[in-house]
Amino acid sequence: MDLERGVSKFAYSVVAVVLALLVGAVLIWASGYDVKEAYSNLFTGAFGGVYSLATTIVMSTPLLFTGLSVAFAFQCGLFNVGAEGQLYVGALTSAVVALALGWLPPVLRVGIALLAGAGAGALLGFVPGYLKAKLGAHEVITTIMLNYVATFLTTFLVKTYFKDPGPVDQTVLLPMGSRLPELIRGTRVSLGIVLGIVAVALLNHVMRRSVLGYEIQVVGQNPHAAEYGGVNVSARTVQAMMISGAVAGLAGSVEVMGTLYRFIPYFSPGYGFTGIAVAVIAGQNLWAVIPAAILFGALQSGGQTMQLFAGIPMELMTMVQGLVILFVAAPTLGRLLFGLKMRVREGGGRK
Amino acid sequence: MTRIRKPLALLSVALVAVIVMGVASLGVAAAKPRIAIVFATGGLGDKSFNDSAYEGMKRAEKELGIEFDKVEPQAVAEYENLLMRFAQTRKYDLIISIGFDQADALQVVSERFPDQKFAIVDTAVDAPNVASYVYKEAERGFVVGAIAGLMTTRTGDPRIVSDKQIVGVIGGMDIPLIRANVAGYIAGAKYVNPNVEVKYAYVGHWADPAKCKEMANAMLDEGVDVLWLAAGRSGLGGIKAAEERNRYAIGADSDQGYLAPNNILTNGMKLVDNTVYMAVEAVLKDEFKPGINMLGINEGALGYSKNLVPDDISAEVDKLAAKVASGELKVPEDIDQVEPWLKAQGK
Repeated sequence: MDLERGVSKFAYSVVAVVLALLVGAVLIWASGYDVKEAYSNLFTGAFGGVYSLATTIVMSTPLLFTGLSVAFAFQCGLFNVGAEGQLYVGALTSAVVALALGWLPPVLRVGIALLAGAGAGALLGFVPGYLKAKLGAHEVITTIMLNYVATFLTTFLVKTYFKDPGPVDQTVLLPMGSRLPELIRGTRVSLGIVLGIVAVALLNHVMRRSVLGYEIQVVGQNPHAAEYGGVNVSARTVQAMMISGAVAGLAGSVEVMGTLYRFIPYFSPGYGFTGIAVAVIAGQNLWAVIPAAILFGALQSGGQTMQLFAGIPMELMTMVQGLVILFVAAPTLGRLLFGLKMRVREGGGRK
Repeated sequence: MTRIRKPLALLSVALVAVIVMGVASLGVAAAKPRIAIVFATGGLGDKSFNDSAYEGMKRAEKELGIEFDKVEPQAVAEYENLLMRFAQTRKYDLIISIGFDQADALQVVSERFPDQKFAIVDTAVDAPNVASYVYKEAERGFVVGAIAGLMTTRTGDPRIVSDKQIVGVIGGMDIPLIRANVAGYIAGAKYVNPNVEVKYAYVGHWADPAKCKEMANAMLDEGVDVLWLAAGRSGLGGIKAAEERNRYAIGADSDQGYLAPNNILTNGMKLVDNTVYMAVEAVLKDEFKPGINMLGINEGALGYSKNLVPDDISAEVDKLAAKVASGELKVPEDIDQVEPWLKAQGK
């Protein structure tokens, strides 16, 4: 039953993507561009050849982490808009730690740097979690605000303390032993994508098989009932935000250690925000984060060649991405609304 | 299960359509020379560097009969990827990088494609297949500095603060390239006017007009009446400040006169359009020259625009520019060297 539902949801998503592309085609045509050229470039840019496939994977990797981060917070009924900021603190912390531990053997160095990045993200996730649990401050507001703090703080720290001599504000390049190993030679596909899949599996296991995961879900579905049932709602809220923050922090760590090899201020083209879209498409199923992240990675990678060789502005590509979210997420939205109505009706019936 | 059949059928039809479209569009050959250009992160519409480069490409398209593809990166992290995408097609006669922050990326990509010709504007990349075009920055600073130094004495002009002779310059970032501009500016102003005081500051960002405006206002408060904005997109904020307070602003890189027709005195022109055109022409004539190509006033790559400059001042500055072009005047490139240099000139 579960599998059947999964398959039907997947089939629906694919149809929704195609529909979104069709509407996108109308937009591209109406803006005066060649639709055929645009979409052939989109396709070859995302899947045509080793480099294109590699670029798709590279661009999916941070989205896999940020998508997982947001999707995990959803499970606890929390909306983590702060993945972008958590990504930045994770990225800078990993870069600095990886640079500072040059004397350690590479495996340890990379491992500690990854943990440090996750820790920094968790710390930044702790703040809104704690504020929500103790003061009832809404996490959407606090996480949005912390994004600014994190982005500007990391930029300031790089400029003031960790700047590479030269015209560009950035840290020095990580030495070979501080980088994540390359999986496909000559591309930037790193071990990061594997770590991402492991993270999905791990959190899925936590959700399904552990007391913590069960309680987080209960809090997500109805905090009052959870409280009544003896669950420590405050503690679970803080823990869920910290795990979510840690995963988003890893997005930054992996990007710095596997792709950029240095921290550059404002390096992220909004991975944290695209992660929200990934999570919305994935819905309640953490495994679905993987195909959703790859979908957006492919749109990003193909969008690049669309811009390069078909002359399509990136803005149009972003609109097509918006359409994809709209079409794929529509049933989730519908179900939410419909489900809500059903509940109201049931409630009314009992009276 | 039957519920999903229809979408699946629809899906396969759509997929086939997409694949057919993809295959059909392959194998289109172009006969004209093809150039690719990767702009700097400020993007088109900066009314400055990128726009100027774009003008040069359009002129090359018209006059040299080339075709070109362009891309506007959103972040530094994208450069390598975009250069790689262009290089991989192996169909470009030249790939041009605009702006010094592409150096890292170009270093990597040029090594990976040793047979591909590259050009980079505004910085040097040491590779056998890269032609680097860099400017003698101090020279244009010197020219606009001289204009500013002379202009600040024209107290009859309502835009000039009558009791003080102070001019200013705001740079985008505190880096050698911008410091050379500032050094040239100070040298130019003091060369023509020993009584002038020159204030300078750096925004720290290429695209922060609000902060630049704040800094400009602070300088105008101190009595600066001619202010040069060598700060990329940030400079737009400083120009606005000068317009609001009715003082003189000097633009940078391209002619920004239309932004404030009554207040833009002149522009420190970096003729990126000429540079890009030269780079394309060199490749077409088979005169591609890897290594550093130094460009200054003499090469027609630097200069100033007339705008509101009075005729007698421009006549005097033209004489100075000719001396710089001939090498008679060697403009200092470091702020610390300005004072000793002025002394050596007997000023």
